[in-house]
Amino acid sequence: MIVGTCKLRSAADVDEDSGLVIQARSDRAAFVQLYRRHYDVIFRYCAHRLFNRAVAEDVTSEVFLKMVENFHCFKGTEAQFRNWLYRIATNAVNHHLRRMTRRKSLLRAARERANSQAADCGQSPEKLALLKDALLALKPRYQTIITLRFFENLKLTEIAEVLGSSPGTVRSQWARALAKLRKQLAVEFTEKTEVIENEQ
Amino acid sequence: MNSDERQFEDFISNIKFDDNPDAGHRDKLEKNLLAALVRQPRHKQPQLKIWRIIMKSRITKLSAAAAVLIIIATVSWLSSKPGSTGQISSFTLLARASAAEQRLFYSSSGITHIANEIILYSDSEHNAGQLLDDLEADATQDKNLAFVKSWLSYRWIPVYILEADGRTHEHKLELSENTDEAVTISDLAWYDPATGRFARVLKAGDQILFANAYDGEFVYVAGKGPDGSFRIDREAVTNEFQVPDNPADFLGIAAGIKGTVPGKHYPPIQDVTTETLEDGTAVRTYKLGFTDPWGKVETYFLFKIDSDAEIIDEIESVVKGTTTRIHRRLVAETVDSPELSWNLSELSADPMKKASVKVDSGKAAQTVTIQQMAERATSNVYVFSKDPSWTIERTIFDLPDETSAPARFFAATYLAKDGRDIVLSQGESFNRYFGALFGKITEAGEQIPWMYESENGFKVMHQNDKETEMWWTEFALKSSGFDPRVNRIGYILMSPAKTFMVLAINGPVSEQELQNIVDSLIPADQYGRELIQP
Repeated sequence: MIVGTCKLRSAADVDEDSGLVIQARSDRAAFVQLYRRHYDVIFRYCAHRLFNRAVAEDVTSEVFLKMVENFHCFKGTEAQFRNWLYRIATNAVNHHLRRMTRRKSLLRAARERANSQAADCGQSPEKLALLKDALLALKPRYQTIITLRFFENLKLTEIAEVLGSSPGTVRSQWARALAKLRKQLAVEFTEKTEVIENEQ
Repeated sequence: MNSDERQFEDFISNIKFDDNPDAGHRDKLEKNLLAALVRQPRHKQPQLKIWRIIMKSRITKLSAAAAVLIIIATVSWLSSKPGSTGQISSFTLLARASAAEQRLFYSSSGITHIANEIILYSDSEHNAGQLLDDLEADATQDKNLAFVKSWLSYRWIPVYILEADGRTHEHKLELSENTDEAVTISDLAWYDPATGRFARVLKAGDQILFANAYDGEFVYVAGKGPDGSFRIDREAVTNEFQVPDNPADFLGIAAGIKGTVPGKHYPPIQDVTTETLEDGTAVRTYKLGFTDPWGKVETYFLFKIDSDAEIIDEIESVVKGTTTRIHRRLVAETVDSPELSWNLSELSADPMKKASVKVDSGKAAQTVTIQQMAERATSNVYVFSKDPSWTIERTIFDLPDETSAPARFFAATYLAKDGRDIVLSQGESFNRYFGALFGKITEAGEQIPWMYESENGFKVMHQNDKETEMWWTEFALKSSGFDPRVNRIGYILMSPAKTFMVLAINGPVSEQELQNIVDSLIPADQYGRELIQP
């Protein structure tokens, strides 16, 4: 899919009440319904953070197993449930990235994966590689904010809930993350700006 | 949308991504989850059950009450006095972290900027003061439990203020009673290592709660004044003023760890684990807490210490299994200039109109003399007219008595030469709480089994539940920096003015020794007069 069109999909297509969440504690069918309503969004988030669908599936499995383990502790609406899943997923992704960093150069691996995936799909390989390098060079917290904002279309207040921070803090981190991204993608942005200016 | 956002949106707008979920994986995982769901154990709330068992006996109720009150006192004590330490291992660990913070952040050539986030969680249905009022009105078991739970959930944090005399004083930042939501506080500080100048501000959203600064000549303290309005007090530094050696003592997450109160009071390290924080930092998590009478550690601190830099990255406070506070560092960097002037000139007037938190000017915790104790107490408080013969050093701690504010809580500790250390605790909330419970017993026509009544009117009760006694005396002694011994013992005392004290002794005393120390109790405001009189 085209990442940009993600913005068209509402990230908040979940109920604001806690009915299904409560029901899912004792009703298998409700549990399955709850799971199915959130599987896609969590998988996509993992895929956008990890740039590898196989790894994203593994981490998604970890996320939902963790969810089952702690489901009895969760009390809240379905929207809060989704944000809770995002939080578990964020921790799982960060944990995975940390492990990867220890094993080998993450950026090198990401670049290799990017090139091979892009070649497979025949889709803007340079840009995809640039994006991956730029994102993975950021702190995991910044990666999380950027991904949740641009790819999952969450509001800053929702991101704050996922991260357990205040919206103000997230806003300032969001600005810092963007500034760092701008540096990472400086060449690309400069060229784009020049093109726009020339067009004008 | 700003230009950075627009550029990034443009950049990613036509990147194609392989992110379509696979139904096969989804279905397989679904089966695994359902299987895992079946294996999940049902979760209970054992602590409530245990509490109810304990509450069967009236006298055991008193024992448990004493135990809980000691917890409360100690929880607030520990929360308010991170400079204190109990076991050398805890103290060494945290002192090392504080030193590392000083070395890393406050010794650079440029201006250091630190941004921390403090989250105070709400889980209290009612305020503890009101619940204690209710308990006093009618001491039922339900009200007792509601009060204790609420009291344990009290939410406040210590803040350390550098004053014009160069000393650091501890104050408390407390949530207003009517706030049900969790509150996130930003703690921002700038420090210039070359001159010692600093500025620090605590904010909830855009609302300024408190600020402290030093501009080289004056010390500034900003906050809520007695009339509720926002004000900035400026005071010229005194001749004694010296730039603090270690700003980490009053700025940042490690503030107070090497504080002014000599410490032997930190709870022991119960557990060490490793984990990764959200920003990817690898940390070792140290769980510091006391074991409760049922062998559990449900009230504790989690200190998350950076595995590489050895600095504290996060502190989580957990009370009865519930997180009440998280204090974490978000930013530590060198900047060209501070965003807040050294004289706080940018702070606008009266931004605290709807304050949800307040800074209490009352001292959070400190050591005091007997005279100071007498002056600060709002009800009758007592001391031994002469320190017990087997003791060699006395220290009195003055702590906030949260549910009876502005009353204070006092713990007099006596180091013994033969190991039989003593802790004598008293405060207004003790008086109200024990008064309610004892009142209920006598109202029902039952007798309190006093074991001794002194000529000067003090009554002594020794609880008959050995297990509970062992626990709370251990707790009281440990939190006072003593190593509890297996033959320690505890008593509840009632004064002639119907105030209550809890006495823990770290070893056996003869009947005569106990009677001697009880007989020697006098009102604190009379201490010294007796010695002068012929």
